Formats: sequence, structure tokens, C-alpha cells
Amino acid sequence: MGFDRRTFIKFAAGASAGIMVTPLPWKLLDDVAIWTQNWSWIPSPRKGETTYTNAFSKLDPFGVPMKVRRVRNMPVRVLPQPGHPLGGGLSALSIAETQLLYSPSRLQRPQLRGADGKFKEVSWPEASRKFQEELRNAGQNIAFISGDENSSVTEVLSALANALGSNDIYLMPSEAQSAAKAAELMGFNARFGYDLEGSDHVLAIGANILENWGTVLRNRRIFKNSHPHSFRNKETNKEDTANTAALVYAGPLQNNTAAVAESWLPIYPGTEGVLALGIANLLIAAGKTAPAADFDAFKDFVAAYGPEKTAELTGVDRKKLEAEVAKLLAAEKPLLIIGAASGSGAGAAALIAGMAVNALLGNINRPGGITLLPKAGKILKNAAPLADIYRNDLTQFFARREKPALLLIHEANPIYALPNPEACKAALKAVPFKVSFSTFMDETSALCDLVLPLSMGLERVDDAETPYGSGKISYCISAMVAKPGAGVLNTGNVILSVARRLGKDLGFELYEDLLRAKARLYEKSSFESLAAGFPAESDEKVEAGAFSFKPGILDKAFALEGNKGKVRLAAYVRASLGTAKTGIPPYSNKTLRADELRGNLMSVLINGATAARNKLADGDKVFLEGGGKKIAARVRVFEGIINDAAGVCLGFGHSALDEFSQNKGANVMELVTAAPEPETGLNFWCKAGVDIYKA
Amino acid sequence: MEEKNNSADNPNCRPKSIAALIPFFAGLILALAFGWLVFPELLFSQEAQPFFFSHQTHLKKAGAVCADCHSLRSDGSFTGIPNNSTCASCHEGILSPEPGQKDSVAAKAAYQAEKTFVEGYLKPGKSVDWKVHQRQPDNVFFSHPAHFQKCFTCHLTMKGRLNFGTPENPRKLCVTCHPSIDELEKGKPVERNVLTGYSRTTLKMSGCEHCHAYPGHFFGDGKGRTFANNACFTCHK
Repeated sequence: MGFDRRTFIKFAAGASAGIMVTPLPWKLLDDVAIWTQNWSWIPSPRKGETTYTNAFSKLDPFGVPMKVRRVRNMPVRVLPQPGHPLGGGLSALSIAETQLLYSPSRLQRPQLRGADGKFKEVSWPEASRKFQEELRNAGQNIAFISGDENSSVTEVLSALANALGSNDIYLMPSEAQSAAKAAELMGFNARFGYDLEGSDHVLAIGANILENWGTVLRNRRIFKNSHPHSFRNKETNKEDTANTAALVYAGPLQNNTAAVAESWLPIYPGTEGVLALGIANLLIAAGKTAPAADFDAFKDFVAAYGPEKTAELTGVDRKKLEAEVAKLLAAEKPLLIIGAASGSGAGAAALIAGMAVNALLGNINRPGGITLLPKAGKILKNAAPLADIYRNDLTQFFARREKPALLLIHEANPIYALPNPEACKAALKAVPFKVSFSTFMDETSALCDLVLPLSMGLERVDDAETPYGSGKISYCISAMVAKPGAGVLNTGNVILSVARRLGKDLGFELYEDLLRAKARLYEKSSFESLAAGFPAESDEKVEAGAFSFKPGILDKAFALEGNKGKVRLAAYVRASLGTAKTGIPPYSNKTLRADELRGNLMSVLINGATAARNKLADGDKVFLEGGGKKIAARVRVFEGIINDAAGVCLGFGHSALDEFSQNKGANVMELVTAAPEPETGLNFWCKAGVDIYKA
Repeated sequence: MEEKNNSADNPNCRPKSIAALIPFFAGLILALAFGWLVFPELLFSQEAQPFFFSHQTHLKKAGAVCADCHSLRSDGSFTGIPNNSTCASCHEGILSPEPGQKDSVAAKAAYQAEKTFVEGYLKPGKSVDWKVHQRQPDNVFFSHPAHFQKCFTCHLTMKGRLNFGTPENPRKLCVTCHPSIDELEKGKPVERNVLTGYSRTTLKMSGCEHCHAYPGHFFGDGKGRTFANNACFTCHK
């Protein structure tokens, strides 16, 4: 029998039949399916021993304590730190800190701008030499900007500035700056603390306390505890349904705070202070007084802000205003919090008006009210007190004609975050040498001459002293929970080392040594306990002493008008969009709804009446024009905004950072121009008008 | 034109003999042999353990239980393969007496293994690169504590084959998913699938479903005691 075609077919048929009853085809199918899911380049989770380390977020400015889960010493997840006085959950930014360690926009090595105008990577010794040389050449003609008001790095920068003969040091504008200025003008030798835990009625004007004002996580925890769900309490076996404190919000937009508050009072943007004067008027009419030196003058001044006038100026419903004031009067421990919905640019006058209301309510240094906290302490002799640094206004620095020979920027992105970025860019370009300490290549770093890669919060030891909005003094040290990359360093260490080499020894070799010395200021704590995540707390208060309400300042400040326009700009913050320094954190893009950002076009919120008045409809592409600039947006008709106001979200329109932040919407600050607030020394930009028209 | 003839009268259409089917059976037998005997050998490579290790010696002679070496960490995660310090809690030095010429091969192997561990790994502070028989794939979330706690809710008190032992010695529960120690005796090499990288004993989803898809588990027994949810997100987060 030969092996012919017929034989071959028989053999093949037999083999085919046989192979089908072996594991080969079925096992191969299964294995190929698994093989296609496990490519070698897909990262796989690290396996090994899990440990937990407490830390404090240095990326999130709102005081976020964290517990970091580490697998074989590598941080893999951020969790809330229960029991921490500032804790109560996590923010969108802090939860992404482990991912941000690997962000594509992270700087890994120093970048020096070459003669061709392009950055080239240089070694740390080379970058350090260049920095030192430029500092030496600049002499005392230097200026510093710090983006972290809670960290001792600001103190180190201030000490170096003073040692070199300059007092040109600035912080990024913040609510804390407005409050510091207000406290100074009113005559308080203290900082404002907010005893939210003890209050039974909180009226927040402008301040979006559950999203971007003060110690947000603590605020949320207090709100949660005072607003229990109607579940049976296992301990008492009773239904916990009654709220133990009330929250009322006044602001132009129904934001996250307004959404959960008992009541929302819509007011025009930038009229927060005027509303406070209207409330003061009703309180005085109800017989309230305050031990202010100029109370009579203040009483005369607020007489002009009767309910009708206040309603006209702020857009608030008069009856609602009167009802809310009645509730304030009825509350045992009322507290008024005032701030800017956009987080900065409110000036100091509104804060003075708000504190006047608190004084009329009799809650200064009382439980549930305003606590006068001692000012921040310092370790370095040469450093200026934080309260003095707050006096310097950064927007005025960018506007002034004389520029320093060298500008050092630490963890700040003023080119993105300040009003009128184009003017800031031009001002920055006029500075001969700019150095940026930054973790990410942001808009400001991209314009600098030397960019020094800064270790991220998780990779360094750093501190946070009483974040603004706290109820009492606290001091937290964040331990190093991740091994820093080879090319990144901590600003504190670099500055201490450079100062030494310039012959201006600041007294500490390492930044950690400075923090150890600072920890000794807190009697019941040690560096070790602080670094382990147990904060130092103090109930220390400052006596109110003689204070005044400064009606003269308020009069001029509230007469200040912003840009004119068809609608008033109501800029708001969404915490999930990160900060100017970080851009949009990982995963947060997914939280944006199609009616907030579609393609690269962001939404502008206007209500139906405003839309009709401007002949616009939902979905229309429009331009918003103000301050000589315009940005594109899509109309979203939203009834949670006051008439004649346009709600736009801050945090979009990055031109730097990574692809997840770039070219998404527009930067609202382009429409805003800062103007000096009379007699307070601060600039103000919360009252901008813009034109809106169909594209 | 010649007419086509498909009838049985046509000699070409008649079965000639059983010999005509020989090619078919040859193909069949060769394919069966290849599929059952050769293919598995080709599909799996062998990875030898770094040195001899006997589970039986530890369990029967030393009286250890699974949890002595494979325990839960304080945070509830499972340690899996013990690290050097766990082994060193007994084997800080060489425990076995040095074997003489007359001692058994097993005794010599045990001594040599212990010497290798103490001198080659423990003293230099080097981790033993044990080849793991059952590494859970990364796309699966698995919690040992959850299974200890929840399976034991019933299987501690049930009789017969459904009894999984005691919380102190849950060996029967362990071997429900893991290869038995008899299978792993004497440092059996890990057989690794050359395509997938999984070991031969990696628990596949069908293994999980043996319990998770058991109707009595996910429909509940009316007393809230069944927890083996079979929803996708239970294991695939």
C-alpha cells in the first residue's frame, strides 16, 4: 500500500478526529486568550508586605491628612487618616498623589535655558552653580514667590531674601492673605480661627466651605456629623434625624456647598461684603452692638445698607435676607464665614465686613465663633513673620515697573493663576533671570531660565502650620513615604545649602533639622510623633483687645467697580480639577460631565432669564469677553445661578503640564483684571463684568 | 460517455478490507499521543526549586500547621510564601544532626537543604527565590481572610466531606484551592505554561466557580449565612 492522496486524507481525518479529543485545541484556545491579556508591558501590582504611613498632602492646599498604603515601601494608595483633627476623608487631588509621582509632566532633572532659547538638561551641581552665580550677581535685587503659605520653606526663602538684603517676598494670593490683612486693619494682633465644630448655625457668604475654602475635609466632616442620615443609631438605638447645626450659603452660584445647605441666598458676584453690611444693618436694628472703637461710625455707615438697598446691590431676596438674619439672631452659636467663591481676589474689605458681623453676633473668642489665634511662630532669625509677608501683594509685584534681577519661584504657578496672564507673562519676561522650583513643568516654569525639579510632597519631609480655616493652632509634619527620584531635591535643602555657599548660613544644614527645631516649639509633641502623623494642637487664644470696623475703608472699597459688561463673571472652583500647580489630577477628567466640558469647549452657566435677555439658548457656542480678552464656551442654561451672571469654572485652559490638562476649555483668569482695593494694599478681582455673545 | 456507477457492484466503491482504515487509525493514535503526551510536555517548562523542601517533614515531624508559615499580616493581607525571618524562627541554625554515611538519602537531603538555607540565604540576608505554584493572576482580587472567615461560617460545623477543619488548622480549606502537600512533596518543580506564564496549578475561574457558582451559596440559605457572591466585581475590581 503506497502513501497516495487517499491515504493522506485518511491519515489527516484520523489525526483531526484524534486531536479534537485531546486537550491541545481547547487548552491552546484558553491559553491564547490569557496570553492576549498579559502583555509584558502591562504593569502589574507590586506584591509584598503592606505598611501604612501617615502623611500630610503638600499638593492640596486645603489641609489634607492622609494615610498612605505602601507595598514593600512603594506608595500604592492614599487613604483617609481617621482621627486627625483636620481629616475627614480625601480630596480628588490627594487621592491621586501616588499616581502623580509618575505624571508625564514631572520634572526629573534640572532644565537650563540655553542661548537658543530652549531648555537643556543639566546636572544638579551645574544647576546649583548657575543658581548661586546668578544670586551673587543679582545682589539684593532679588524677589521670591512662594506657593505654599503653610510650609516652613517660605520661612527659609524669607530668611535668604533678608540675608541678601531684600524683603521682596510674596505668597500666592489666598483667603489667608485677605484675612491677615483684615485682621491687621481691624487691629487684631492675631489670625482668624473658625470654630465650626462648636457652631450651631453657619452662614457662609461666598466661601465655598465644602469645596475650596479653609480646611475642606474638616469642614465636610463637621457638616456630616451635624447632618446625620436618618438611620438608626446603633449606640443609642434611636433614629438620628435632627440636624445639630444649620448651614446657609450665600453666593452667585448653587455650588456644592449651596447644594447641601439648608438655604441658598443668590447674590451677585463680588457683593459678599455688601451682603455682610446688610446683615450688620439688621443686627444693629435688632439691638446688637459690638465693643469696636468706631462702632458709632460703623453704625452710621451701615445705616445706608438697609434691606432694600442691600437687596438692590446684591440681588438677594429681601424677605429671605430678613428671615436668615432672624435665624442668626435665634441661634445660640452663630458663625459667619466670608470669602471668595473663586478662592482668592476678595480683598480685605469683605473680610472686615464679615468679621464686623461676627463681632455684632458676640462670637469673637466664644465657642462656635471666631477664635483669635496667635500668629505663626518662626525659627529663623532673619525670616520675616508670615503676617508681614502677607502684606506684599503679588499682583502688584507683577504690575510694577521695576523688576528684580532675579526671581525665585517655589511651587507656584502665577502665570496661570493670577488675573490677566498675558500681562503677567510680559512682566515675568522682563525679569533677567527666573528660577522655578517645581515638581511639574507648568506655565510659569516653562517661561523660566532655570527649572529645578522639586520632590513631590510624598517624597520629602515638610510641614504645615495651621492651614487657613482651622479652628485652633495645629502643626503637622509630613513624613517621607516614597523614595525620591534621583534627580529631584527639596527646595528647603537647596536653599539652605546655597545660602551656606554664599556665606549666609541660615543656621541649619538640612531642612529636616529646621523642622526638628520647629517641632520643639510645641511642648507636648516631638518631631517623631509629628512625623508619625500625630499633629500638635494648641487651644491658645489671643485677647481681642481694642479693634475697629474701619467704615472709611469699607466705604471706598465697596464703591470699587470691576470691568463693565453685560453679565457679571461668577468664577467657581471644582476641587477635582486640582490646582494651578498640578493641573487636572489623574482620573478626574472622568468626573467632568459632557455639559461641563464637551471636546475642548467648556460650559458657561447662565440662567434662563439671562439667556433670553442675551438672545442665547442652551448649547450655543459663545464668546465671553472682558479685560480685552475673549474665551470660547458653550451655553448651559442652569437655574442655579443668579440673574445676569455667568458661571465659569476655574482650572481649565492649561497650556503646560500634561495632556490631561492641556487644551481643555480656557483659563477664566484671562478675562479678569486686578485693581487695587483702596487703602487695604491688596488687589481685588472678584467683581468683573464680561460681555457674552454668540460665536 | 461512460455512466457513473455508485452502486455496490462497483469494485471501487466496495470496502476492500480493514487495512484501508489503517491510515485513519494511525493519524488518530498519533494525534491522541501527541495531544495527551507530547503537547503537555511542550506547553509547560519546569522551574526547579532553589533547594529541597518537604512539607511532610514540617507537618508530620515538626507538628506545624499551615498557619505557622502562611499567615495573615496584621492588616489582614496574606503573607503567602514565608520570608527568611519566619523560617529563622526555627531554623536560626542547622537543626538536623550532620548525617553519617549510614543515614538515609532523605536525612542527607534534609541536612543539606537546611545547610543551604542557613548558610546560603539566612546569613547573607538573601531572600529565597521560591518558585510559586499558585500565584493569583493580577486581574483577580482575592482575600484570604474573607475566605477564612466566611467559608468557616458554615464549613466548620458541617459534617463529612464538607467539614473544613478548625480555624487553627484549616488544612482542608487550604487544599480546596491549593495543591495538596502530597503533590508538592520534596520540592516539586513549578511547571510554567510557556504561553501564559501561569503555573500548571494556578486556580482558574472554573475552580472559583466551584463554590461561587454553587446555587446554595449565592441564592442564600435564608439565614444570611451565604456570602459567595458570584458577581463579576466580587473578584474583578
